[in-house]
This record gives sequence, structure tokens and C-alpha cells, in this order.
Amino acid sequence: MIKKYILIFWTVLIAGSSFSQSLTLNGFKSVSKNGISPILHNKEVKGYTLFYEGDKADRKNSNYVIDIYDQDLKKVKGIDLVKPKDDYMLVSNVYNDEALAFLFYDFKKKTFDIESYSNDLTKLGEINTLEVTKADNRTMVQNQALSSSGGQSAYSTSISLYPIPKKGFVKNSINGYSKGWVLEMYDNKLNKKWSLESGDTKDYQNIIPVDATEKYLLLSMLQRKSLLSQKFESFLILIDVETGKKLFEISPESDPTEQLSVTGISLDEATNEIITVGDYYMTSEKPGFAAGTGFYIKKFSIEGKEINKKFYAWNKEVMKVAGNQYIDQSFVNFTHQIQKMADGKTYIVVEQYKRKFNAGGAAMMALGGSASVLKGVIGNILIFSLNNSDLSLSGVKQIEKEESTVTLIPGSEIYGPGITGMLMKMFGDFDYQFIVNSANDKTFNAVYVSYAKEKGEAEKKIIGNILLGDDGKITEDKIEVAGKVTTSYIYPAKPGYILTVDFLKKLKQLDLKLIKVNSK
Amino acid sequence: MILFIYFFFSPKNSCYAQNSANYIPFLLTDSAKIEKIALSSSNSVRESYILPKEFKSDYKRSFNAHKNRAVEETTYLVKTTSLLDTIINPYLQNIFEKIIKANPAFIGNRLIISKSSSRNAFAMGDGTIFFNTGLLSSLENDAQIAFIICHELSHGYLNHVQLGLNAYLSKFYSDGVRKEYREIRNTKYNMGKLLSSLTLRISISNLYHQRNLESQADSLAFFLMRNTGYDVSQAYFALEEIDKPEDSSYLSPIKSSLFSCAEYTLPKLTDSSQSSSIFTVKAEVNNNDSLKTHPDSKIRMSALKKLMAKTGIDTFMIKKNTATYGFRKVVQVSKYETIQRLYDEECYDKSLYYSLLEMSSDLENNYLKAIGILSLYQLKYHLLNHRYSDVVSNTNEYNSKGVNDFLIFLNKLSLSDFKEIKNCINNNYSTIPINNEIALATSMTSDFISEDKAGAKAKAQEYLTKYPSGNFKKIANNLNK
Repeated sequence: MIKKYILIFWTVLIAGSSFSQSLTLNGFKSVSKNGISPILHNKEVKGYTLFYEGDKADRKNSNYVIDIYDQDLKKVKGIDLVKPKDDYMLVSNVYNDEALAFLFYDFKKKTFDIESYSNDLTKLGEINTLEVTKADNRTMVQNQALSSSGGQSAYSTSISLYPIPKKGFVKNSINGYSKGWVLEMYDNKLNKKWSLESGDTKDYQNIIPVDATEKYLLLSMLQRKSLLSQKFESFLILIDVETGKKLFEISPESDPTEQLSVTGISLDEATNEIITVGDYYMTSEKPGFAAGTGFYIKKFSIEGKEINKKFYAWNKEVMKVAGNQYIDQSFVNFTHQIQKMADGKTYIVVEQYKRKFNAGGAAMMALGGSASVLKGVIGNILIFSLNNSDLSLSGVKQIEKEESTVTLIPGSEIYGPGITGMLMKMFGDFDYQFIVNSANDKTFNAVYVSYAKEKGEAEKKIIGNILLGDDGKITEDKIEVAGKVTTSYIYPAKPGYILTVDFLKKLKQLDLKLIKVNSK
Repeated sequence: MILFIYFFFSPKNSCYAQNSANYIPFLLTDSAKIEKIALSSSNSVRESYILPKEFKSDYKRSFNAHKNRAVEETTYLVKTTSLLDTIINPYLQNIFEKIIKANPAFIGNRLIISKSSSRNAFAMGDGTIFFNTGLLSSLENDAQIAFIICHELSHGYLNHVQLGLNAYLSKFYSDGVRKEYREIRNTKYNMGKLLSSLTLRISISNLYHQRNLESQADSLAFFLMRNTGYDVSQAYFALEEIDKPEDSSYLSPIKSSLFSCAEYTLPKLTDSSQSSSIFTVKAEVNNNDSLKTHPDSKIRMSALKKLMAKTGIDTFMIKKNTATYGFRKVVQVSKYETIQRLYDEECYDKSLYYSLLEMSSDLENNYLKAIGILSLYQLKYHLLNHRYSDVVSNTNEYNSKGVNDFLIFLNKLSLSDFKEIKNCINNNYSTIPINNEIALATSMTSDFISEDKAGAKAKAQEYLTKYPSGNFKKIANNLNK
């Protein structure tokens, strides 16, 4: 959330130049990355919300504002809210083609609120004091700490509001004993349609909504025996959006010899097929613990039947297609994104990482401090392209960048590299930031930021843009950003652009700027 | 300062084209002359600000701040925008002198022609009037120019700057507002909303006062104009013309033959009228009627018609006057100067747009082609350096549809498109070979757009040798790296 000063008399505060592709906002005393969030429609950025707390409304409440901007940074409308002062947070905003919904969390009351708005930003519905479980509250407190420390990966995906195209929104949360999950579907006016609960399961289950159409909601489920268990099992769950009925729950492992992790899932509305991508492991290894042997891609029918699968070993098939490119085999690959495009190909974006001994951390541990004996090293980004028809690997493109080192959380050493990758993703340690598509699925822009992370994000950095052009070629464009600001963030933007947000604390100024990315 | 009105120019009156193929924009050679004008104008503006007899200390501080800002602005405007050319300036000064001669009470007033795209004229309060070149192309004849000048002279004569400032500051520092402000500052809650509401009320009250002053200026201008011999009914048409949005009769450059090259396919264009925004709410703008500084033009036109009737003019018989050759020439040159100003102000999106528009009716104009290529170079250079959004603006509701479509087009361009666009310009518009500074600058930037680095560098070196202090030295230095 962003905190803003009270309006000072005789000064123009929100002085935005909407004619240019930049916007300067004054009067802000602090920012966090999740204070601004993009509004997505068909994977394309269509606007932003800026959530901030203003002055006091009464003894217990503050005046909050959600300013809505379009994709060109033109202000559309400000929504005024009177909500409990200080401990109130906008968790997420989502758009489902017909309505925009906001999920808030009240840390004092320990409740969720949801508000929904139509395209003309008139309120459609409101739910206040949605009860939360202890596990939800614990997760929200952790998320708040994450958000305020680095501002990177703000929220755990185990609590979210997920848009169901034109139909409404699904809220997922953790059940009271952290073992199971709860899904609740609301229509655009926030009338409850159905709920689905796992109940208290034998194992620990965690679900993440990954894709949805007007008919189906696809979930990824991770399951483990205990909280300290090193073995994760992955499942795909398909839900009927109208009834909330579970249509299937399947493991991506269709053969006893397969040891798979799931890092990317998508639901293809046109073909009604489900694609899963992830790492595969030796049968003697545990998914998530050891380094993967390679990556796999599988297709399932909407009935949950496996249609096709392909396995590509890092040191064999991948190297063969990579040709002359030297790919350092000492790294492990983390899959960030799978993107099915209109050119008949599916692109998989992975980033290299590895763990190395952290002498400083070991010394601190010896002295009784809290540190990790390991550091994370981040390497290059690899883009794999596969033909949709037969899932054959047609290209490997390595995007070279400076190696950077991150401090891992204490206790990382007890997990294997697979779990370390997930933790690094959760803590925003990777250089990869986001990918944005054009609505016609012809182009994408995958963005990473390269900087000396241990010195902080305000240092000089490189914003790298990996572009898939209309011509089907992948090119790269690097933007150098001078680090003279207190805090700097980047966000997805309209096709061909990125949004940079700089916070100048002394001036209490927030500078938002759309930067056009160069494509040949 | 009293603003007349603001918009952009329309594309009428273009017939000077054939004689202006090698137009060279006005470049200041006598800086001492400009310094002298700037000094005398700023001194005059300073002296025109007289503190009322009774005032409070806060009032004095704000009054002086306004005065200093007006002095600084006058100096800046004279030094950076005043046009001392041999076509526009003498023409308008001639009209100005004719008005002064017929109205001797205005001796000592001065007219400064300002190179600016804004459709505007304004008075500084001391009798100094700024007349923007961007306004000229909205007008149709000398009489309409005369009305604008008379309107601004009236503001000076009626002491409107001083009256407006006094009214504003008196309201601002009135006991009532002070009391309300103190009360708000002492409230615990909703201070921001209360302060915003108070500020808005003061602003609206001030704007209503300003509208009243505008009506007064129109009335006096009518009588001043009547003394000159200019057709006073043209005052009515001047307001009508200025109230019109940008002329849509121009064919948008992206739809004209300019880009219809067989070799180049336009990036797919989204029609700006079909908003790509998911929001159906109208954008928040502070331009609703309650915040306009001027009364509605129809109300002003109606008031002028009443004045005409009162003074014996048959308002059913009034008609527009046709423009003279001299007027049309001035309008054409003012368009070039305005385009040049857009370029100088780094509005390369607009300088390219308007140069292309003018080119479409003037196929062999070296100057327009040069400024078009130079603008294209600047756009490509800024794109390459990730500063494209500094020089290509967003669409907005004040622009014409043509401008907005063009901005959407520019925002879709890739680096490789610039070469194709330049080739299209070269194919569609011929140039009369000429050897001067702007031609060499165009040639070196043209090579850059074509990705002929060696050619661009060689020409940049030639430029730096021939014109070591030239106007395009910065570009040459960039290309010579």
C-alpha cells in the first residue's frame, strides 16, 4: 500500500500530465510494489490501480483511494473508500471481461472484504467481513512482511481472487488447519454461487487457480505428507464453473517411472486441451529435491486423459537444439511461464539458478545468528519453443545476462534445489519479472531485471526485454536505468511497453513512465 | 495575464505553397534586439503591477509572487518565441499600427508575435500583447486579426490583469476564507476533502469573474475596431472560427498517399474513435464548462450581434470576407513557423504530423520535407534510446481524430518502420536539389534512418566543418560518434 500526505493548502497535488506517456504524482511518503497493480484483460494490460491511504475519516477510519488509470496512464476515476485506518490492505484486483473486483484484508478485524465494479466503475456488489481462518490470517501477516521487506512477490497465491471470464470471481483460501483448501465462487454482483472444500485431508494440500474459461476452472494442487516433507506431489483439478463440481483430479504422472514436477499449466479454450510443463527427475530422485534431468510437456483432454507427452533432457535434446550456444550445465532451470502463441508454438521461459556456499552465512550461524549457509546464483534465461502439433522442440534461445547473487532464507539448506527454486520465486529473487501478451497472441514481451540484488533495487540496473515479434522472431532489448531514486519498480504495460515507477522520497514524488521497447 | 483562447491551427488558406518551396524558418540573428525588447517589456510589465492601497502582508507576498512570475514569463517568452521575421511580423504590426492610429489612447502598447502552436493571444497587463502564430491559421482575414488585437488591447485598457488578480487575492485572503481555512486546519478528520472543496469554490468564483472580464473586452474591442475601418462583423466570424474544432477536411497522413507504398505495409491501426480502453466511464478532466476561463463562444457571438444591431448594422446581411493574397501568404508562413516551433520544442510527433499534412498539398516543398525527415530522425533516435515516450504523446480528447490516429500509428512503430516511412516520403515527394545547412542536416539524418551509419557519419563531419556553430550541431555530433 502507498501512504499519501494530506492535501496541503494551495498546492496542486496530483499533477498528472495525461498528454504524455508519463505521470508524476506528488504527496506520497511511502510506496510498496503492490500499491500499484496492473489490470489485465485477455493477458493484455488495460490499466492500473493505485491504492493509497489519505487522511483520517474519523477516529477509527481513514480515507482510502483507489485511483484507476487506463493503459496510457490517463486517469479514469478515483474510488473513495472509508476503511479501518492503517491495517487495511488491497490484496488483489482482478478483471473478468465484465467486472473489476478488489480483495481487501483487514488485519485488525482479521476479515476479507470484496468489492466489485462494472466497466463504468459503478459498484456492483460488496462483501464485508468475510471470515478468515487462522491459516489465512497467518499467511496474510507473512505476506505483509514480504511485501514491506522487498516489495517483490507480495502475496502468496494460496489466498487470491481469481477472475472467471464474464461469470464472476473465485476466492481461494486455506482451511483452518493449513491442511486443506476452500474455494468460493461469486457472481459479478458478489452473490455466492457455490463453495468447494477439501475438508481436513490426510496430507497437506495447497491449491492455486491457474487458468479459467467461461466453463472451467483449472487448479494446480501441491500435496505433501508433512510441512517438512521434501517430497511434493502435483495434481491437476478441473472444476465446472457453473456448479462447482470437481470434474477430475489427476496426477500428471501417468506412468510409475515418471517423476514430475508441475511448474506451468494452461487451459486452451480453443482446443479444450490442458498443457502441463515441468521438470522430470530420475526415478530414484524426488521431484523438487534433486535437480531435474530435463523438462517435459504433456497434453491432456478436458476429460483428463493424456493425449501427448514429450521429454527433453537438458544435456541431450536441449543441447542438440541449442546448437552453438554454450549452456552452462551446472545450473538448475526454473520454469517461469508457458505461453501458447498464435504462431503454432508454445514458448517456455526458464531461468537458470544454482546454490553456492555462503561463508558469511556459515560464520553467522556458528555465532548463533540466523542465516543460510547457501546463497542463490541466478544465471541466464532460456526460451524453449515447441510445435503445438506434436510438442517437438524446435528452438532454444539463450538470453545471456550478468550473474547475480541472492541471500537465501535461513533453513534453505535442508531443502533440495527444486524447493529452493520455489522459495526463490516466492521471495522474488529471480531476475525474471513478468510476461505480457498481445491480445491476439501474436507477440509477447518477457521482462527481467538485472542488478546487484544484495545492494538493493535502487542501484543501476538493466531492464531486459525478450520480445517475440509479429514475424515470429525472438529479439532482445536492454534498457539501462540509472539508480538515483529511493525505490524503483517495473510493471507490465500495454503491448510493446513496460511501466517504470520511481519513488523519490525527498520530493515525496512518484514518477510513472511508459517506456517503449525496441523491436526490430 | 489574460488568455484569449486555446486550440490548434486548421488547414485553410494554403496557396503560398508554390512560392515557399525553399522556405527557411526565421532564425534569430540580432540577439541584442531581442534582449532590448525583453528588457523593456519585462520592465513595463513590472511597473504595471500596483499594490492596492490597503492590503495584508500575505496578500503582498502573493501579489509580488504573481508580479515576479509575470515578469519572468514575459522575458522568457520574448527571448524564446518572439518572431522578428520579414513576413508575419511586419504584416501584423501594420494591422496593429492601423488600430493604434485610429485609437490614440493606445499609443505605447506593443504587439509581439510569438512562435507557438497554441491557438492563443494574450495581454500581459501593461499593454503588451502576445499573438501566437498558431492562432493565425484559425482566422480568415485581416479584420479578424484586428478583432483579436482589439480584444487584447481592451484587456489592457480596462486593467483586467490587475482587476482579476486583485479579485482573486482578495477572495483568497478574505476574512471568511481565512476563518474557514483555520477551522479546516483544526479539524481532525477529512481535512483533504474539506480543503479541496474550499479551493474549488475559490477557483470557480474567480473563473466567473474572469468570464465577466472577457465579455467586457469583447464589447470594447467592437468599438475600437469600428474606429479602424475594418469590418466589425468579422469579429463575429472570428469567434465562430476559433470555436471550431480542428478542420477535418485534411486527409489524415496515414490515409493519404504518403504511406501507400507498395513496399511498406502500415502497422495495423486501431481507430482512435474505437477506444481500446476497457472502461466506459468518461475520463476525469477539468474542462467542463464550470472551469472555462472564457464564456461560451455562442454567448459571446450573440452579444456581439446585439452590439451590431444597436449600432445600426444589419445582422442579416453580414458575411465573411475573403482573404487577400497577403493574408494567405502570412498564414502559410505562420504554419511553417509553427511546425518549426513544434520541432524546436521537441514535439516531434506533431512536427512530423503537420509537416506531412502540409506536404500533401505541397508536393515539392524542401522545407516541409526537411522538417519531416528531421522529425522522423528524432523519433527514431529517441526510440533507440528508450526515450520515445518523451517525444510521442498519448491520444487525448483535445486532439483532432487525425492527430489521435497518427499518435496511435507512431506508438505502433518498430525501428525498422522508420526506414520504410522515409522511403515512402522520398518516393511520394520530390525535392528540388539545394545546397544549404538544412539540406545537409536532412541528408545526414536520412542516412541514419536508412541505417547507413558510414554515410551519416561522413555527412555529419562535413556538416561540422561547414557549420561549426550550426543549428543541427548536436545531431551532427551524435552521428559523428
